[in-house]
Amino acid sequence: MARIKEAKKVLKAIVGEKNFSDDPIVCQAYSRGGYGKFFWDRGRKVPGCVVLPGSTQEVQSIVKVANRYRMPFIPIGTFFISLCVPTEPNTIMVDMKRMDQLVIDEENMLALVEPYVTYTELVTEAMKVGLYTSAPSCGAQVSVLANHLNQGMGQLVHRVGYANRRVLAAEWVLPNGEILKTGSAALLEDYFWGEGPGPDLRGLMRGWFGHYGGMGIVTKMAVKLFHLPFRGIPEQMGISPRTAFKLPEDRFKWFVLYYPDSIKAVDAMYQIGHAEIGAVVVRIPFIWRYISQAKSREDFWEQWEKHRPSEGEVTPSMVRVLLCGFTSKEQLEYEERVLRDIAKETGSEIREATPFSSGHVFKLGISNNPAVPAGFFGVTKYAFDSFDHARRALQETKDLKKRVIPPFVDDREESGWMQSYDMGHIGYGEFFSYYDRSMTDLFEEYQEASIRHDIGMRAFPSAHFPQYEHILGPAMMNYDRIMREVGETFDPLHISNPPRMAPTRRIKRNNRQRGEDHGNKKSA
Amino acid sequence: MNDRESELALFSRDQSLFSGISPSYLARPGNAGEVREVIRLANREKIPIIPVSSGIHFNGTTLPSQGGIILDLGRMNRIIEVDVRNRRARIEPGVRWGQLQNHLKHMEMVAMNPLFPHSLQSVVTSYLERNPLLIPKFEYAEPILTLEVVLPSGDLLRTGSAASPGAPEDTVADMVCPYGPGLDFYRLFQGAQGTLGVVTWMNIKIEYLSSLRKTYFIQSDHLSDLLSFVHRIQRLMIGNECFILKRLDMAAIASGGDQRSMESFQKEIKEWTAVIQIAGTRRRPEERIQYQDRTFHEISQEYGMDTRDHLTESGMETEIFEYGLQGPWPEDQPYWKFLAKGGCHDISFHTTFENLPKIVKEAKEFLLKTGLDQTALGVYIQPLEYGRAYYTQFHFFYDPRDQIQKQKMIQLDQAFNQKLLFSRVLFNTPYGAQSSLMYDHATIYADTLKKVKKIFDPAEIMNPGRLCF
Amino acid sequence: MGLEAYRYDIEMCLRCSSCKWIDPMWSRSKRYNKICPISSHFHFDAYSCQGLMDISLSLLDHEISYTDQLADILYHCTLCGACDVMCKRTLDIERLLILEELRRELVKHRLSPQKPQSRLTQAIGRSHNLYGAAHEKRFLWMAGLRKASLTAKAKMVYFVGCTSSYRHPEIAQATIGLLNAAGIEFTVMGPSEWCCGNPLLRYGLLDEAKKVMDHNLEVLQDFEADTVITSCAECYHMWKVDYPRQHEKKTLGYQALHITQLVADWIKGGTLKFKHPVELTVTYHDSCRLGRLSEPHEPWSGRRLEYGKLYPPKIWRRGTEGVYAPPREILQSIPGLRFVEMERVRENGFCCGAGGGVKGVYNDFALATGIERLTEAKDTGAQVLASSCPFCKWNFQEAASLKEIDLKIMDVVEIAAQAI
Repeated sequence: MARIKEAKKVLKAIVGEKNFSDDPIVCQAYSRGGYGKFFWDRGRKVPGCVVLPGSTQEVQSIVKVANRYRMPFIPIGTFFISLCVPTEPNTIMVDMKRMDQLVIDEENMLALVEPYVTYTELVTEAMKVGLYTSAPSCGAQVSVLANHLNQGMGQLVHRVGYANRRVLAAEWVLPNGEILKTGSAALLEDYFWGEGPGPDLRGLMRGWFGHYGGMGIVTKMAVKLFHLPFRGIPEQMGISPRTAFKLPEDRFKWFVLYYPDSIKAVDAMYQIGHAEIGAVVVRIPFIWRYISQAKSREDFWEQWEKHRPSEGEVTPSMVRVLLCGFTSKEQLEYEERVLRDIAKETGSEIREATPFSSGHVFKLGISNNPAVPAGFFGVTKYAFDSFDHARRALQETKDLKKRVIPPFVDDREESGWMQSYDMGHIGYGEFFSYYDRSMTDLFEEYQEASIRHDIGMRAFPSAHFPQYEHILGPAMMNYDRIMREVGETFDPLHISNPPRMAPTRRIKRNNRQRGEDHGNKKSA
Repeated sequence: MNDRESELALFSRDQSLFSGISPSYLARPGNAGEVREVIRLANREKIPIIPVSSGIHFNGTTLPSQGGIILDLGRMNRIIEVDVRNRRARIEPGVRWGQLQNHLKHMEMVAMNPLFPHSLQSVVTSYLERNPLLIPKFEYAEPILTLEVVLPSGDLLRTGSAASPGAPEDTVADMVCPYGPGLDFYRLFQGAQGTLGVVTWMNIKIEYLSSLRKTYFIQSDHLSDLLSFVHRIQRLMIGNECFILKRLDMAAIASGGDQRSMESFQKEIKEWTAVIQIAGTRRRPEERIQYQDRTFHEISQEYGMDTRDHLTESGMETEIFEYGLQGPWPEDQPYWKFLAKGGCHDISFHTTFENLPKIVKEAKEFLLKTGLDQTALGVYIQPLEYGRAYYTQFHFFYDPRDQIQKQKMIQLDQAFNQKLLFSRVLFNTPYGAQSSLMYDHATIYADTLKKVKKIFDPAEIMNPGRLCF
Repeated sequence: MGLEAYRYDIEMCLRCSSCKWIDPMWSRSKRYNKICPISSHFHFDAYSCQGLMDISLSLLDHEISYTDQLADILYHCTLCGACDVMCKRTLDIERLLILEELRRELVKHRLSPQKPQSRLTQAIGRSHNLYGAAHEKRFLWMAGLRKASLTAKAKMVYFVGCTSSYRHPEIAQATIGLLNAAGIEFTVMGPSEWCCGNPLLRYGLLDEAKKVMDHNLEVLQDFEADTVITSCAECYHMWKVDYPRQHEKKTLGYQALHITQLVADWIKGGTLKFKHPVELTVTYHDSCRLGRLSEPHEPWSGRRLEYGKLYPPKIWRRGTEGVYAPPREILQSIPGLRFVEMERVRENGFCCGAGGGVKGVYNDFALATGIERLTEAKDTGAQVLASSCPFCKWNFQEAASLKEIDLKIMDVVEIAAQAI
């Protein structure tokens, strides 16, 4: 107790009194997650304190204090994901809100961000100088830096790739408090390039998914931006909740290709990649038409029950494509001709679509739309390899789905959400599950069953969340052994968001004081 | 295995300025299983292992510093499979550029290649060493998909979706997802110079090879002007291959390997030449060329650039660019880098658009001070990812038979890299003096690398003495 | 209703942080991207709707108790409703009602700031106004107005409100000037007018608020009026939304209008003409309770079915139909006036800082919030920041003076009155 008190005193001195709190009410607000709520935060603890650092030096000092006093710490950006909920007492929540600097380097197409810069802010400022990046599916309100470290899907990835492709140089406070700078920042305060020097330590930052703060705290990151064929804020329109912005019509056009099933849809997505056209190539689940247009949950159900495919009927596939004349208007015209050729060859009906989604892919992501049908949502099947792999992995989930539908919402979906990465070199697919509060346990079971199912059918197993490492590791070259060694090397006390990074390692508990349980006391 | 002294001695030297110690053994495994056996043995006996894949080496990275076993992967030269639908090829480390590109050509496919690699250069090595690619389009960059690696322990690791159960022969995955599992392993092995493991196959991206292309040569005596033009072209996402060469390099390549032609071209061409190829894609290739061409010419006019489809009046030099850019240097011709004086010392780095002219100017001034032959300098500038950054390679040509020149080169390597160190550049894949300079200053990076090395190679058998190890 | 009635809504917080930011579609700069005053000032998540939802769930699950710290958070909140509207962009969930419920709980637990509470209840209890000023002086500002400006037995009653009466009479005077100019027959409640009850209701003092609301309703009935107009956003919200809500009705038979709605109609219909140019560059601040929070109460009772569906379906107040256009139409019709918009407008407006009782409890914070908004206004190049609420005007003026910000603060009706 005395040690914890002392540690808190030191922390308060580091960040200043108004940037420190150990008040139970203030700490309570950091004990639950968002995505994955009620199952990933089972066994949650209330943090011991919350600190708001204002600089890398303060972050380093905090991490060193955590090491000295053996207190777990968790860095958070916008904290959307429940894997940042504390699992141990006396955890220091390192809330990065005061570190929100953004510098855009137009010439070299990059943005240098601190942890609390959101995608909305980044894309807004980037567009002013003719640049962009893809808003991720969890929504543009999340932290750019955290998202680049942990996931980073979004619809514009057809061109710009998954977020780990988009990390340049970084400044990183390792779990032991050392400050590592990667890429071009290794020598100078210059963040223009991410590789090396020599072996690329960005490889430690994350894998398919990240470590959720389990490998220290990245305090600065340069992220790639990409050329836009216009400069400025696009014309904004509408009043909440139906708002949008309008991209220049001579450079952007949306199309939808309709297919009776996913076979030809997947062929078309391949063809589009081969043709090297497009900025967005996404197969939208049929249910999404009704989710995105719904005025309310009840309105959704009314429309969905009217229009959904009958049970057993194959859901139609809609492939949404955004074409962009990055070079010129003529490029847009050319790409439209090519797209129509593909549509004809693959036997689809092609229609020009409303540009309403434009804002979504640049600045909104999907965010909470999946909550419309039932309140809770989650991805239960991720298939990240090729389109063919995605289609097969998703389709062979039928029997598994039957175990959970009902009670989950029956989306009547055979192929899920699919999107193109790296100009079609990589195809991704996922199933959303829509469920309510009473079904969260079932969701967790389903997710684990999905992983085992993938392993059984010899697909690339989905959901590389750390809590499944004990299942995934043995199935995939025992990578968990290396994760353990990395974890033990860089975070021997296992205090960086335990147990998220390499959870299968044995925590040397005798080396750590447990301290008083700060939360979860039942009050009178 | 082989222990004949003379054959072993060959591995103590390469095309670089440096030399090493003769290895004790030479092993030529034929498959991953044999690789694993050799590595396990080396682990047991604590013998260094130096993996080599190419038949020629330029940077000193395969020169043993402590003897050991040369693990020559040249026999592992299968193109295992080509998957056109997923635009992927799986190759072993001994596959050379010519072999691969010829094979892919018949399927109208091509692998993204660097600038006229030597015919003996391994594709896997090019990618692991992050040789810059001639085509700066594709925002996603990075040609490596997944790998199979024999770790220094002898264990096997496959990266990304190649780690799927049943891979590589019996999996639903097409092994095209580079990420994970757990860590982005595919990144750790890049730039590692064989110090963290031995790649036994690699899935790489392949792209469509268009038969329809237009090649433009834009010459200028002012690098800044030319660079601004190229930067703009890149920003507008025009073209496939795009690079800039200084006169001597341009002449050497244009000559196709003929020294006299090289000397003649040097007199005809300006100091700098940008080469830009505009190509069609699979569909409506002429239309694609047309729209790109149109904007290209508009920008050329705007920048006052004289764009031509030939370099000299004879136009003879265009053939190598028209038909040869997507492949290695012809194996029956003297390598273009050796044409000037027989030897070439490369100093490479990444930098930014605005920094580049300043560095080139400083390089020239530096050479002046050293008293070295000013005309014996080549420069290759490669835009990366639509001009996000620029890879630059200085070519210091010298006569390798002349020990005095060689010594001067070694001194230049140290001095010039020292000068570059704080000039807003990155030694992405540090060679020679760059290694010690870089890691002596980027100490935390070096320390972290050592920690990673300890995890993968606790016995320190993999190419010891390389990088910061 | 009690906090437990909102358990579903509370559990449904997905921690997306939308409550902290404006609608991404309308973002125009990084600088002006935040929408929640307490979050942007204090940073800790507890000082945000999302944090308060987590806290509420812990209260419901008896993990924590009501404390002074909770009161500190809740009474710094201006109840501007930005979080409510931003959350409702995609979710069918109440947020502001939960915050108001939490206030009521704090009052019950005697944890609400007691001194300001005591001052407030005494002021309104004894003097029927928020300032504790003499009730007799409520209509002092009318001295000098022509008697003919009022019409006895008019169907339209102008409810002046405390702040116009005691702090910014120029707004009331301008309002009457416009009503007269348009030839509208109207009257005022005179000494019968009590505080609308907003400060009490927002504080969490439901019983006290009911007393004054019932009184005002009786007065309106006595006047046999069918229309109430106000020049104050807070009073408008009370008459339009809160009075019917207390009776679980959408409307109580009268129409509640803000003066800007009328003036805009008069301009369009030709009843009123702007004859004199007003050579000013003006930007407009959307008062929360006139803007995003002004949709009528939609009574609902029913049950929750599978997947959280409501039966019967509920009509959600998402801020779409707020009074956004009329003040703008007025300003844009005034000759010589150059109208410029701030970045955070309409439903994305950043609160003035004064509402929710914050002005009375944490004036420093109210001023800090006001300064943030003034900075945004100044960045437009405007000479004048106009609003449609005397409470906003009061806070802005004090903040401008404190920081010596060179910006004139005016009400829309004042500017309009200059132009007629």
